[in-house]
Amino acid sequence: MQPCSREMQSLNSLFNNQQQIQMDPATSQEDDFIKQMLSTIPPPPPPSWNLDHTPPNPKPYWLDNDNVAFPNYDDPSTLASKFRNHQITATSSSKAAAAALLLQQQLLMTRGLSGADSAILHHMFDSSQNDVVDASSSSFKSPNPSSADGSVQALYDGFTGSLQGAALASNQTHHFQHPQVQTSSNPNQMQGQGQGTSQGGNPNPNPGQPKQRVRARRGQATDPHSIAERLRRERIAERMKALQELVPNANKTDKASMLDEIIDYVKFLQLQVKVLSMSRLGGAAAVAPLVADINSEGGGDCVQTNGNQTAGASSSNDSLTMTEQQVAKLMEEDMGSAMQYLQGKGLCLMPISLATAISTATATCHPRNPIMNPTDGPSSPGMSVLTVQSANGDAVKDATSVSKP
Amino acid sequence: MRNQRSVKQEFLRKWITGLRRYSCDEKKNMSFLERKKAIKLSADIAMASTRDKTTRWSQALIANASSSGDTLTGSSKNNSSRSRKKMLMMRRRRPKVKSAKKEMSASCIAKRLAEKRTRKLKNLLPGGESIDEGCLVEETLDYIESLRAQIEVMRYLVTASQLIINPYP
Repeated sequence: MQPCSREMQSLNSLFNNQQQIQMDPATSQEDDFIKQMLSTIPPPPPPSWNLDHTPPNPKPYWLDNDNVAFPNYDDPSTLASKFRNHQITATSSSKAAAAALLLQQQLLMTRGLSGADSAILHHMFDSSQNDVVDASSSSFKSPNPSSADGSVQALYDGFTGSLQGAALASNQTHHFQHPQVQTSSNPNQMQGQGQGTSQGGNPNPNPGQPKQRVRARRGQATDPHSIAERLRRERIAERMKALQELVPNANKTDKASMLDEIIDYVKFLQLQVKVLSMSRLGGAAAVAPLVADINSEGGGDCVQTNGNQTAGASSSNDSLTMTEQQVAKLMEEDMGSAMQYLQGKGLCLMPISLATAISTATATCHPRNPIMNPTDGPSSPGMSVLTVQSANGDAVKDATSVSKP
Repeated sequence: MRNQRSVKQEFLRKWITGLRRYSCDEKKNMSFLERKKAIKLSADIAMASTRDKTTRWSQALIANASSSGDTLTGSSKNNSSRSRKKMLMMRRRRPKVKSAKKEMSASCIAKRLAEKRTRKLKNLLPGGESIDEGCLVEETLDYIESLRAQIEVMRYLVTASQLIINPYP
């Protein structure tokens, strides 16, 4: 029997040099193995040997098979032992075993041995503790959990030892979820079924028994990280809802636009505070609507309208002249500070033509707003300083037209 | 929502004490800008203290203000540079990870937009540079509320002073 001889050869080589793992030729040999095994395997009878807690020792497993009258299963048994040796010798390179496993699984899958698949995979996954694996394993079990063939059991017996690392299992699940992916509706039940068929043949001390896991909702994982993530996201969402009530114009559903609105609102509020603190300066000292002619260095270019009209009050001549002098002084030094000073008083600087235009317009519309035109001041009439003073009663509604810096 | 009325009253009280300190201390006439800064600072500190350091932004505000010292004159420049340095350092500690994604799925784009906005918001908030994203929304909520209270109180004060000075004819 050619496959047997080849298998014996490989086995001998393995026994001789246990430290050397020549995966590639071995894999190819296993490949052929698997193919031949699959071609020769008849529909498997139920298992008759006890498989719980066989220790992963280097005892050549295939020797035990002599007790069992399965002549056809020499191949799978030797295969199992061979894999076992691989497992033993290749503990460091568990990935090699995983690769072998993968290959074998894929071949089985393509052959369409659903029963074998489910049994193998079920036991594979039992040894891992991944929730995702669990879900997929249950899905795999669904086709035919009752038919666990002996050969397959022998195989997975060798495999469970090699599947210590969860990484392995996760690698494999990626491969196996594609062909048969079903969302498990009752994983625990399936698990129980699988357990019954295989008698929990796990040498590993990991929980082969159905662990009471939190059942995941459809499309959601159950590991603690994602749960924490979900909680955090929900918290943020409810806070955003509370913010929506505070911020005006917050009927947006999109998170990004909500953030935009929030940002704009915070900027606006901060600006208001700044402006109010500036206007406060004049309030204590009876800021008067100021009218003055200011020495103009440049032509009438700067128009900074400050709509803050809380600084409106009746003027007294003293304050007027004082302000004029102050502004003139500032203008000599630095235009910016002069601007700010005027801003604080609720004043703006604009060319005379515009001022006259405004005065005529407002005079017709709001006769009760006293608009003082530029009187003569200490300098040439290049520019005029004009205040538009709303009535004192209107002082409450203000700061709506604050100039943006 | 907390009791807005009591919050406003407390804020007003603290602000007035702060202002009084300024007017008592400074013998000379402060310049325009200095006065504005003084007012704003005292208002900010009062607002932050109403929170009693329960929120991150109030702590940051107070820390910034106290690092600058009580007097504003002449030290404002140092303060700004110091705070700017601090902010720069904090920014460097958390480098922006700009991953060059080749494929731009819709979720990636949306995520990036949201990230930009949250960063902007963090810059706006005092002490919001090193804030956890989960707390960011909380802090913003709180900050907005306090800002509104502060603005209303200031406005009332302004109009009141106006009325005092210039009573209705």
